Parts: sequence; C-alpha cells; structure tokens
Amino acid sequence: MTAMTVRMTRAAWYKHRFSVVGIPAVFLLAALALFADGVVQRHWLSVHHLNGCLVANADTGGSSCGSAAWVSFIQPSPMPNVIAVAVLALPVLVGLFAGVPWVAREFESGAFRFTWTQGTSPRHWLLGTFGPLVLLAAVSAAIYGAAAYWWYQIAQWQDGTSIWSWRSSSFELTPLSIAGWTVLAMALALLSGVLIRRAQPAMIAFIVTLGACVYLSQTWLRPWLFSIGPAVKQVSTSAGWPSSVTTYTVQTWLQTPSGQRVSGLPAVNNVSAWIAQHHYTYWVAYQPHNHLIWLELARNGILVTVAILTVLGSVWWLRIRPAD
Amino acid sequence: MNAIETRGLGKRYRRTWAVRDCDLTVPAGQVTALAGPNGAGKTTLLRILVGLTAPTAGTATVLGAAPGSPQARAAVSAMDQTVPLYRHLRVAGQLAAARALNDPWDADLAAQRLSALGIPTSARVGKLSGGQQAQLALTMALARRPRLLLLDEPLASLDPLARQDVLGWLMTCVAEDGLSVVFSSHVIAELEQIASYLVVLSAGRIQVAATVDSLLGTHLALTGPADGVDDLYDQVEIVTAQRAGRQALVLARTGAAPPGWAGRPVTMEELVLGYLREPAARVVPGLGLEIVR
Repeated sequence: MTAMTVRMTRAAWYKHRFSVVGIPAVFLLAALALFADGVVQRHWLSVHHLNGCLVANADTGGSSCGSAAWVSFIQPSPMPNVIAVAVLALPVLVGLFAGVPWVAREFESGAFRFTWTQGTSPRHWLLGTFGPLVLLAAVSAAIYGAAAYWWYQIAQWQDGTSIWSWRSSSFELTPLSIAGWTVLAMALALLSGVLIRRAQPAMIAFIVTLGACVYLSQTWLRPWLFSIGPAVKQVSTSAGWPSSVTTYTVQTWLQTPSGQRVSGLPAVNNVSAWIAQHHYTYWVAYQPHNHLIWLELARNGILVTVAILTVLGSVWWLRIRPAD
Repeated sequence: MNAIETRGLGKRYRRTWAVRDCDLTVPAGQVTALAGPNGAGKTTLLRILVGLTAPTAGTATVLGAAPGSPQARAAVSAMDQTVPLYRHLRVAGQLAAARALNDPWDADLAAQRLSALGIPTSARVGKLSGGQQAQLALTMALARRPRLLLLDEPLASLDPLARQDVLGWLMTCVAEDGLSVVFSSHVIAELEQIASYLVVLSAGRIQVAATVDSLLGTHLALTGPADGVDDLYDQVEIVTAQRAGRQALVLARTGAAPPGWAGRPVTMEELVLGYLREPAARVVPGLGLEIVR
C-alpha cells in the first residue's frame, strides 16, 4: 500500500466517516437479519425432524413431503420474493445515498475548491478515496450476498417453490451478483455525481441509468450468456433429459436423418411414435450445473468491467472539467 | 523564474469572455495586488492559475509549471473567495483532512497559528465566524509551505484588526520564506501596505501590470483649472481627468507638474481608481509604461 493510498484513505475517513462506517454497517445488519430468519426457520424444521424434506423435495418444494408439520411449514405467499427484491434493492440504496453525494455534494457545497486545490489532484483524490469505499462496499455486499443466498434457499421451500439455481432471483441472490451490482451501482453513482454535480438530479439520473442496466442484464445479457457454450445431447420425449433441477435448457430441436434441424414438435397425440415413424432424433442444448459458476463469474465480470470503465470515464471527465 | 506567466489567456463562459487576451508576467518573490471592479475576471484568472478552471484560449504557467500539474500543486497554494471548507467537520478534523491531502504539511505552523488566533480545534468549522473561517483557510493554505500563494479576497470577512494581523503575517512569510503572493482585493488601501507589484484587471483584460514603485514614481495627481485640461493633454499623458466646478483633478503620467498645475504623489488607490475610470488607458507591460488609448 503506497503512502498516497494511506493518505487518501485517511482523507476519506475524515471527510466521509458516516459512509465509510454506514455502508458495511447497513450490509452487515441486513445480513444478520436474513441469517437470523434463516436460523429460526431451520431450527423449526430441525425440531420437527423435517430437515430431510429439504433434500428430498428439492425439485418440487415441500408439497410431497407428506408430514403435517411440513405442510404447516409451507406458507405459499409472495413474501419471500418480495423480500428477495428488497434484498436486491440494498446496493441501489447504497449507491443512491452514499455514492451519488460523494462528488455531487463537493460541488454543491463548494468544498471542491478546497479539495481540488490541495497537493493531491482530483484524480488521485477520487480514485484514492472512492476506490477503498467501493472495495469496502463490495466485500460487505459479498458477505450480505452469502447470507441472502443461504436465506433464500429456505425461503423458497417455505414458499413451496422449487429450488432452481438458474432462476433470475436465485442467480442474482448470490455473493458474486450482489457484490457485482454494488460495484456497478457505486460506479454509476460516481458518474452521475461527476456529470451532473447536483445531488438530487444526479440521484434521479443514477436510478434511471442503473434501472436501464438492470433491464439490459435481465432481458439481454443473462439470456445471451446462458446461450453460450451449452452441452448438447440426444434425448427422447420421455427419457434422457438433463435434470430440470440443476440444468438450464437453452434449446430443443428435432433432427432429420440427414442432419437437418426441424423446429417445434408436431401437434399429434403420440409425439414419440411420430418421431420414431419419421426416424427423427430429438436433441437438447443445455447448461449443466457446473457451468453456473462460470456464467456467474462472466456476468459479474462484465458488471465490474463496466463499473471500472465508468469510474475511468468519471475521472477523465473530472480531469477535463474540474470546476466549470 | 516568474511566479506567473500567461500568454493570450482567455476564458469564455457561453458567449461572455471572463478573461481575454491576457498577457501577464509576474516576477517571483513579489507581493502582487490584483485589483479590479466586480466582474473584472479576477476570480476567473486565479481559478485558472490554481488549476480549477481550464482556459478557453492561451496558456498559463505558475512557477514554470502548468496549473494543476503535480509540480504546480506542490508549489502553489490558494484560498478561494468562497472560503471553501468542510463545514460539517470540527477544526481538528478539517486540519487532519488537509494534512492527508498534502505532503508536506506543517502541522506545527497550523497549530500555533490557530492557537494564537484563539480558534478551538474542537469547534465545528460551520459554527466559526466568517472571519475565523477565513483565518482557518489561510492558515491551511500556508501550512502547505507553498512557494506561491494565490488569495482571492482573503480580507473580505475580516475586521480591521484581523486584516492588519493577516497582512503582517503574510509579510513575515514573504520576508522569511521568499514566498510569492498574489492578492486580490477590493480594499486597495490595504493592498498598498504590502504590494510590490500591481495588476489591474478590467472587463477581463489586463489594464495595468507593473511594479508599484515604478507606477507611483511615474504618476502624479494634478490639480488645476478645469478649463486648462484640454491644453494639458498636449503636455502630459493623462490617464483620467475629473472636473468639479472650476477645478480639475487629473491623474497623469509625468514626473513633474506642468506650469499652472499643482502636483502631488498619487496613492495606489488613486492610481487604481484612475485607471478603472478610463478602461481605454493601459500600461502595457511589453512596451514599458505606455498609455495606449
């Protein structure tokens, strides 16, 4: 760690100790709340000797466990998913209330005329103070993400929903994803503050920009990533299918004996007979479970890369437009 | 090495030029008074020199380095007229933040100065009086041990006693450390006490830039008959003439009073006000003390 980094970290501490303490505190308190709820739920299952149901009914939720106690445990309600969305909102709130004002308030208060006329350049100040904050936020978010991931497993069971790691909410409620979104949120917050230089309009711009990123990630980036490098295998309509619990089906198709693809199944009563009659084969492209971590890394790597480019863009803009 | 050099320097905000065609050379080791009316471009010029504002045209150097460069940052300290501070912090926290942003940092100088001024380090910066905030900002500017100090209206919020104290302190720093100071102020009479170089800025252009001694030594305040002013233009270089009834007061560039006129040395305030009343009159540095109309 260079002397400059140490000095900038000190500067961040003296000027922004509320954010420096507040960000990890918020993440860790939320993690604690999720952890406590998870412990209570799992303790309840343990007391009623129902831990086995979690494993036995991973595919279909708890509905086939049979025990009256298990049935009473399942409370179909939208609450777990509502809380899951709320969990994902925390990085947004951190970016909104800690990231945006970091620079915007410097401009609003005029303090930038002090900060940026000192021995340290605005670039060094920005990277030296905001960088450690983002790192702190990312680590705190990852811990929070671990608690959220652990909590969401049992929350889904209680909701009677099947556990499927490829579902959007499951994919986002992981340490990697929450840390990735937190880093991107902080970077976009910084850019909004640097470009707009007034806190409230910058907050609005931040929400719009981050919302656009979330929309793009959900509707384009994630489906696109899931379609890359799938495993391919021949199946029949009734057998040989990859597990629907652990894999993600990218595409299915019929293939003629000459190797030509035919899309869609015919509207006949006995599809298997129809396929056999025409000597077609049935294929499926799917992502096996061991691809999930790599796709998580890829998606969140893209988020972090966008965040780094955003921070560099902010620093460049501040360099060419320091004040006016 | 010159403290400040600008060539063709200009800064435009939308369609308005705040500073334009600014050619200025300020020698190092001087206390330079930067005078001019409101909106003349003093603050813009100082903000360009400190690296806060990028010029639209021309170039500037401070102590031979580009404003805002690492070399300039190490050597130049500034105090903005808005007295920017972290008002939510305590004085001790503000000093600690400043220390973290600067290397070197003279913590002893800061502590002694604030102690002498009676500013408690436990007080919130925002709760200090305007004068105390200005003193704190000035103390921090000097604790950086700069070679060039750029001060924008540092006396504005100070009472007369505090002004004298600050001016005395600055003079001590100049004498002991060879510090160069550029000092913008409306209080011209007080600038006269310490300034050795005068720059007058009017409507964004440099109107006067010369040593105070050379300016005061070559200008006289002439009093005489109002109807003799027209003839006086043929005898001396007149900067400005004011008629009051039968009498006229003339600021002229001359070493001696012409016959029929009483001459006396001018004060810096009279000199500055005389030039500001006649924006067409300029003392062009490159040509010596010439009046250009």
